[in-house]
Amino acid sequence: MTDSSRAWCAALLCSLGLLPALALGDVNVSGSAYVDYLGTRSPSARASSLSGITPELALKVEVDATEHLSFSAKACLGCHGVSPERFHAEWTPKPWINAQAGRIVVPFGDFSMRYDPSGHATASKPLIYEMGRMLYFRSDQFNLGVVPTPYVDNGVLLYGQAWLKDSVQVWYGGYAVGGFKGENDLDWSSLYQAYFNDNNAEPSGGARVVATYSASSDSALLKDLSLGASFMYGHYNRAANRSYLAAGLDLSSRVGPLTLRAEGALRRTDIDASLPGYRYEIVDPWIETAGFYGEIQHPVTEWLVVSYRFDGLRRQGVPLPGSDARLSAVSTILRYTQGVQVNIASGLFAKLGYEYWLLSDFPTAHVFHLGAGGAF
Amino acid sequence: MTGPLHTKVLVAALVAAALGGCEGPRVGAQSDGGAIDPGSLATVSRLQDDIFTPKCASVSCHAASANSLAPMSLEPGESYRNLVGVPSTQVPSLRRVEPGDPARSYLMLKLRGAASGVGGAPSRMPLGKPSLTEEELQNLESWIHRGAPND
Repeated sequence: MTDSSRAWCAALLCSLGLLPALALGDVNVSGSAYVDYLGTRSPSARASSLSGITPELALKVEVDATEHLSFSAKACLGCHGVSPERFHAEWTPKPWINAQAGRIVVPFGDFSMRYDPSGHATASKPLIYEMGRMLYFRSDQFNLGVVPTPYVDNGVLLYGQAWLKDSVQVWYGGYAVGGFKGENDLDWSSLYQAYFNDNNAEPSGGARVVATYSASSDSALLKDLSLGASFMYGHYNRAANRSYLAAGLDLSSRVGPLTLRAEGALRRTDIDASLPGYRYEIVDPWIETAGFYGEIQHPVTEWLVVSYRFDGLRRQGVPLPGSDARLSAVSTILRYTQGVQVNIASGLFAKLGYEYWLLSDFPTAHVFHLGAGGAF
Repeated sequence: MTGPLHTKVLVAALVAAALGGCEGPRVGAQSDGGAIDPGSLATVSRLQDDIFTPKCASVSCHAASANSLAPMSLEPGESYRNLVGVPSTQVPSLRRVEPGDPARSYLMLKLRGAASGVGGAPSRMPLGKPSLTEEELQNLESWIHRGAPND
């Protein structure tokens, strides 16, 4: 039996376990579909990106078995083929303590809650959260962003929320999950290959806390100001002796009709200095991927939303053996994104995007996105 | 970056400023003009014994058997002629092994799970089995970098 078959069998068995809950509880079915075209005239960028058409389909089933117990399952079709993306039980006895167990979305950063194409107005993700749809994303180049999103993993999340006075809500959560995988730097493809089991015996862990201030008056200029911090740590290789650490800060607010967002994140990843083939002498045996984004979202009309984003990503450290010869020890990207989302009808939208990429080690590129999708 | 040097410096400076000038890992001098260290000296005979035979040429995969699901055999005596200089089935513009160029060898893209980036199938090899270790991957790359000799 292949690993993929095992994963689907496990999902099927868990689904059978849902049947009693289905009989007793409320069932919610939702889904989304999105197709995006990424185009660029740069031959170098085209050769190092997932240019062309990429579909993303998702179907989610949520069952409220009791007042405090629910189950959720989500299957996706995208770059990784068909996969059971999420599958967890959720227990919500009190506002201040809740639990999810199974295959969960790991909460890192504000964008982890908005990664679905229907959840953000731009056609692309911020570089720090990009997974595959960025230029020079390959494992021998930038090897993706800081925490490629969605980051789903097997584990347990404990979370809750509390109110400070009447205007400040605090969300907090801590988790233990299988963690990232790889042998010398992270290997994203192995995270999404069934059977999804951990490659070492050590769980990885992290936490996130967000404080949100909500203005009491509808006429206040500054509404819903949120400030969050995220952290994760673990060992990613089979011997569990090479660690990674990621940390991030995020800020969002509504100012009048505008939504402002900014995030910064950093990941430090140990590397194996004993291997041959490095193009530089190793002084510190780790690499650092760090970046930021600042974004303004402006609803021009009821059906037209315009976004402006400026983001950057930096990979610092020795290029790994076999890396793209153009990659240097400090490789950076600066990108300006102009996006437009047209809400065609309820649940239906189209996205247009233009991106100007300024890279330190690769040719400058102009990238265009054209996408359409919907959610129900 | 194909632009002027000052643009390259500006990009790096802006990103560094945005990141608060976070100190990253220190890196020493460049070594060997960028070449992969040939000291690993993996030979195709050694790669056959260590990788192709035990991890690839099983009955249902890259074997010469009529029941094999894969399009090419990696059994002893057949792997070299099926790999070196041969256009890949999934992305014919790339050879399975491009002598001297591991980054453009489709074999390495499949083993590293990066084939989807060049239009190939995303499935990583070996299919349904643990991935090759980084040391094994670099031995293959080192052999390819030396010109993929039939040694």
